[in-house]
Amino acid sequence: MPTGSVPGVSWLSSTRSRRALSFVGIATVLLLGAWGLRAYEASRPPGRWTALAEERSEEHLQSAARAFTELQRASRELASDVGAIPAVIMYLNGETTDRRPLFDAVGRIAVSSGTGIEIYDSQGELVSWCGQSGDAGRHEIGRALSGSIASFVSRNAVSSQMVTAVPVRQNARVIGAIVVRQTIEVASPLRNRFLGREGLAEQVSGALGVPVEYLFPPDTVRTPDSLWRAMPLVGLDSVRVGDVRVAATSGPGLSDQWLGFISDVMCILGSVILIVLALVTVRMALERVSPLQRFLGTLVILWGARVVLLLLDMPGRVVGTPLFDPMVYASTFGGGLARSAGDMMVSVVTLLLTFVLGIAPATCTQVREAGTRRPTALRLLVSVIAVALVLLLARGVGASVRSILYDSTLTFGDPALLLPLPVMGVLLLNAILLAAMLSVVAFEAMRAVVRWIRWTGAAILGGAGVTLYALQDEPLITVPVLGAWLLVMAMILRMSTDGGGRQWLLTGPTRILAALLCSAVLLLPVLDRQVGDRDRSKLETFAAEVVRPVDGWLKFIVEDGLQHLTTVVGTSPNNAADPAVALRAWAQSAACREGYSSIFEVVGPDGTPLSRFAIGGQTGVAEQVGGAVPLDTVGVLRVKSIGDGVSAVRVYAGSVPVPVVPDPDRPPVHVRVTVAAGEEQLFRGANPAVLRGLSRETLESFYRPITITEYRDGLFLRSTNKAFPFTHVLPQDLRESLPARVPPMEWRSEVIGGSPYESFYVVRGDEGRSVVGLSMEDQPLIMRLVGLVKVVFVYVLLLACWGVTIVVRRRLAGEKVQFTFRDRLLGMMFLVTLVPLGVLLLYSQLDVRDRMIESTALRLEDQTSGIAQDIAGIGEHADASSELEVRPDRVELIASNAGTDFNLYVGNELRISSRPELYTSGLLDPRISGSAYAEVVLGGKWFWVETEHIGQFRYVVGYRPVIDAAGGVIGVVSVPTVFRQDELDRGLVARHAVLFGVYAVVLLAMLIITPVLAHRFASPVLQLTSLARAVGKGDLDISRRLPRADGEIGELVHAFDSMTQEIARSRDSLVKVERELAWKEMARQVAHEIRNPLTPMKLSIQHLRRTYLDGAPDFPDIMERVTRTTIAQIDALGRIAAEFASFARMPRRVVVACDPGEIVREAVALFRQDTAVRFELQAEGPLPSIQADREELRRACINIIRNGVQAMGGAGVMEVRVSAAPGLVQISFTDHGTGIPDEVKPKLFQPKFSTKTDGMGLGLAIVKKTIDDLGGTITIESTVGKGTTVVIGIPAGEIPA
Amino acid sequence: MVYFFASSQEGRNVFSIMLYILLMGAWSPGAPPAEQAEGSGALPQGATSQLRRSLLPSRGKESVAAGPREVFTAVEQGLAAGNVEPVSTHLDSRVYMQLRGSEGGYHSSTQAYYILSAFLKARKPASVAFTTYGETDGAPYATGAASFITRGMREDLQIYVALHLSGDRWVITHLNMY
Repeated sequence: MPTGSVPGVSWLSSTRSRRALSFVGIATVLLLGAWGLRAYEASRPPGRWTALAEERSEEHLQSAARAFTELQRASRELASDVGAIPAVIMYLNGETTDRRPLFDAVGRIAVSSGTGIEIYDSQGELVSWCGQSGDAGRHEIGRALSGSIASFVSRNAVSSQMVTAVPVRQNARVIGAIVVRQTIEVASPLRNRFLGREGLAEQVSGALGVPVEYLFPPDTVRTPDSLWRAMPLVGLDSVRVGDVRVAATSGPGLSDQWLGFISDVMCILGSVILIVLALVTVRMALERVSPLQRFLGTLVILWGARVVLLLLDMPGRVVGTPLFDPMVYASTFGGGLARSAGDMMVSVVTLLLTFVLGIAPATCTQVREAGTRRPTALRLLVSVIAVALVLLLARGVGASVRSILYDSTLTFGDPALLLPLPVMGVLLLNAILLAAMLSVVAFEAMRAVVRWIRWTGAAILGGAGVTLYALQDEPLITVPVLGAWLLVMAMILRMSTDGGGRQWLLTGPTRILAALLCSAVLLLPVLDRQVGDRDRSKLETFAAEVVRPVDGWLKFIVEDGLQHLTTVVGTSPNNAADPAVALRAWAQSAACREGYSSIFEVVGPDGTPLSRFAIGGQTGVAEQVGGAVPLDTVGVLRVKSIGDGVSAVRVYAGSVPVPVVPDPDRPPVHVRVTVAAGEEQLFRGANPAVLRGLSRETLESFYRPITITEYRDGLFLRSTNKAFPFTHVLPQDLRESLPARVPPMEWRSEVIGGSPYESFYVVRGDEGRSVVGLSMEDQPLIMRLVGLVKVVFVYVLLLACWGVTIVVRRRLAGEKVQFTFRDRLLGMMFLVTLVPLGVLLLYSQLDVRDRMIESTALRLEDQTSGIAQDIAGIGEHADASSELEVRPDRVELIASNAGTDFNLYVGNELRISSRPELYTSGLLDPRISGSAYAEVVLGGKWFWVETEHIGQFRYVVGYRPVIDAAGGVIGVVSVPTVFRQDELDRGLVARHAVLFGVYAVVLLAMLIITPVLAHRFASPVLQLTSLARAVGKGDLDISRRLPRADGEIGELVHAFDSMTQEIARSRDSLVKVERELAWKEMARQVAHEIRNPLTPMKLSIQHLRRTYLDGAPDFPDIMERVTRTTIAQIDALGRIAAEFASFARMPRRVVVACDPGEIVREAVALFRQDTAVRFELQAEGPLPSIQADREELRRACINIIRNGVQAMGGAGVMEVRVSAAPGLVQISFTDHGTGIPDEVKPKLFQPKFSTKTDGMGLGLAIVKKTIDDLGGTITIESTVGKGTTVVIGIPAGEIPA
Repeated sequence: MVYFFASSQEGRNVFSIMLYILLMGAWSPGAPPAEQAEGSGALPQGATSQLRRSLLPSRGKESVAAGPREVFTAVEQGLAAGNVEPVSTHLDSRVYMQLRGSEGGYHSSTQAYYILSAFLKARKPASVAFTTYGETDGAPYATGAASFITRGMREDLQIYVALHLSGDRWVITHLNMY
């Protein structure tokens, strides 16, 4: 633990921690308040809630009634708007007879409002319409034509409609009526498939949070009970139209609701407090503890918080999206840590935080050689453990990928998806983060292993580990993938150190990029393989259904149908005779939900059919079987028959008698249900999924085409794929091996009809003679690459988010964010390629869809043509089109010949249909589409195609007029067909594969080329920058190092070169001038200094000569004096010469490690003896050594001390201190002399400057030169009259280059 | 050696690896043995899947010798108690489930566990009883009725459960409640 820090306390003083704790404090207060409120509310007597519940129930009831009223009002306004359209008024006024503008106007409004609109003229004749038809409501239309607004609710077995009739007035005269039909409800469970939006009850129910029902005749409100509140509903004409009832809110229920809300708030607050506290504690409180303590603390705190969130069911409790829905994804990992995609994300983020906050990233200085001091056996043991752990973790990543695929209902391999779905993206992101973290861990382990037992040992150990791994049965990660992953990491490890010892990998961005690269190497092949495995697994599940029909389930379906029929028939004596009762019962049954072809019948005692509803393509077969069931049979008879196609059609039928209420003496009626388990069909020749449970494993759920082939005794029997040759037989070895296997199933890769397939063969039945093969086309490599590109997209998204986070974080911290030229170039090229790709993809989808519609239209055109001719032939024998009748068997024949269903409209009414039950039941509108009528009947078009809807299910309908020989229009034939979504998807897939493939190549090329281009563009500039710095430091010899470039950069280089040469010339000239000046100055100074002693010398010698010649009596004294003076002056000349030589020379340094304290002591000792100055020498603590020439440094110290002594006049106190600073040794000399004036200070270190009378003024210049050469600093602080302090700073350790 | 692991960079790295295993590696799901018995490919038998099964206390242990009736009884009692554990013990690796309020579909046993948990958590069971037992082509099934209280409202559902033999275990392949 670092000295001077107390963990857990000092971090509280920072601003950030105080802010965080303030937030936690406020949240805690709120939490306590919520807890207190909850406790208080829970303790209150239940009576309080009762009153509130009553009030709430009444509010709900009024809201539900208001919703109905609002709907009526909206319908009335819509009708009024339609009535105000000029084209409508013109027609109704008789100003025009062209009805086509009416259809245009009505069509636009009806489609946009989702309603049905009808226009009636003053005679009550329907002149224009669009949308769903319904009960004519003649009475209400009559009222509207008489000037009053009327409304009523029309019901059939399928839906309820609000019908509003509004008069159209012109000059106070009623000229027509507008009828608006708004669908209110659709019988469950058809609702989600036949309505594009929720019914009114569902909408209001969702808004209020309680069940709501709108009841219209013949349904009525049952006997009032405490569970419901009801009130009547009135129409616009104040006539009662029905009732609304809402589930009463009970006191306990309301209390539970309120307490539940408080609990949710408490959970949210508690979670927020927990997360903030955990992060604050980890980030701040553990900042100053040891790495081990930090790691353990992070582990406990973060994962403790995660577990608490798990127990609180957060954040799934409040988020509630598919992200937290186990139906989408759920795994056993961690006992609930990944019970949904969102939970897994939270757990992965927690793991990531543990890594980032709890484990310090290794750096070059932290990689110790400690391992080399440990015993070899221990190092080897730890290395083995490290390798084993890494391989085990790698398998864990493979298992997590498998879980993502197998524990989810998402389709990962579907190339029709342009981008991954959001939940899919989250799961892939989880896998990427796990694999990236594994790569970091494995990288560290590999580094340690390499350091301990070197590369050779590591390779041997790794090879052994991979071999052991390969011995598993079907390892989740194959050996080649594992080997490639380890190899890539080894290469990165090797490349991460260069000769200088710098580890570039270990900077944050490159580390992360390397981890992501390694994760891609590991993840992508594993994902690809697992997707293939999963496709096979799905096919096996489907195969199990094909060969093992669930008879019990189908019996259940029949029993369920009988139960519903019995219930519906038995509730009212009139129901038995109600033609719609069969449909109503079917709509509520499992047969409807599951989409089986079925027949529901109510048969009278004499066998007369009272009510019947049949649906599905197998009803012909089912009818024969069902008709054979005796009416008094109680139970279920199962008959197996093989119809068309490969799948066997199994028919189940049952019949039960139902007594007539309330007369038990009357003979009972019989209800009969027949269900055929074959291909569900709505329209002949097609296979839509509109009626069935959409998530059953069906052929449509496979994005790779599946072919089902049946073999009998090894010979081809039938196949769903016409490309399969009928000569194809089962291989002999398969025929022998298959029955012997338990269970009798086997996979084969084979080529059939020239195409590669993966086939799954399974024996059907006990005899073993029948084998069903389910063949899945091999997915081309390009398709698999498209799937992997989507994963790469998640990588790109992750990198982009990371980049944005870094930029935002730096901006918030006030740092300037700069992007390099390469970054900008890469980003620009990415955008330039992405935008056109997006446009192309969008265009591609639209184009493929348009082409599909076009091809469908062509097919419909052919079909309608044939049918129209057939009907025209029949019509020739009818007296009038209104009398046109076609026998059902003839209708069936026409439909079979054409291979499609058809309808014939006479006027606007349906006259003939090959699927009458769909129209009589109200499932489909029996009125011709308004736009088709306008185009074909009014506009005279020979062919018209449009897209129609059954709720959200789209299908295409072609219309053609039927013209008799006389040229008269008999009617309009329509042919519906299913929009082949699977063909559309395959078309899109092929198109997208090409586009994605091209884009992937472009992207890859861009990723390779861009750095090269950027380097090419930026390199000359970077080189110039580097050279400019060198020039700034004085290096002007750069011509040979200039980059080669052309264009503008080349001109810049040339200009730079010219500038540098000019600078060099100028510098040379300046140097020369300065040198000359310096020499001149030096010579002047030398001459001056030499002249000084020479003058007294000359005078002295002259005086001596004169006294000698004069014979002066004191000649000996004079001789002595003169010689002394001369010698002194000669000494002075010698000193001048010595100093000059000392400044000019370049001494040979002997650099050794020196003790600065010792050098200073030696320098001080010289002066202790010769002067009266008292020296206070202080050396603080152990001093680091310095690299210097001892003598040179000592002379420098002597110079400084001498100056100080001279400044103090040879007496006083001088303080000398030697101390250590971070990376430095500081020596300070403080005298109390005269001080240095401010004007002198700038010149102190100039060579020729001196304040003394003797000397060259070179002392301090020499000192500065010495210190500069050592890489140190020298500063002088002085105050006149007080003294001077000279501070030298010398680097400890080596002298920097 | 403890000191080495505790104080050195290498030791902390090893700790981090162990953390990774604890949280991810050993408990990652593999396919249960039942799926292997059906011949499906690419299924590991590694230690992790065995370890996983041993850590899920209510799975894979009691059902080895249970007959169909015992399985139906366990389902009935589990649903009646609002407890998913007795049911999850007998789930096949892929189960077709359709519950009221959601679309039907095939789910892994893990998903089925959590879906059923969420379903039962939102409902208070009032009564659950199988009324009909049958068997066709060696595939036993049971149907019945269940009542739940949801937000004070009674909800009546029909139940259908079908089993098939996987190895020596009877496992649930279909579970419908609507």
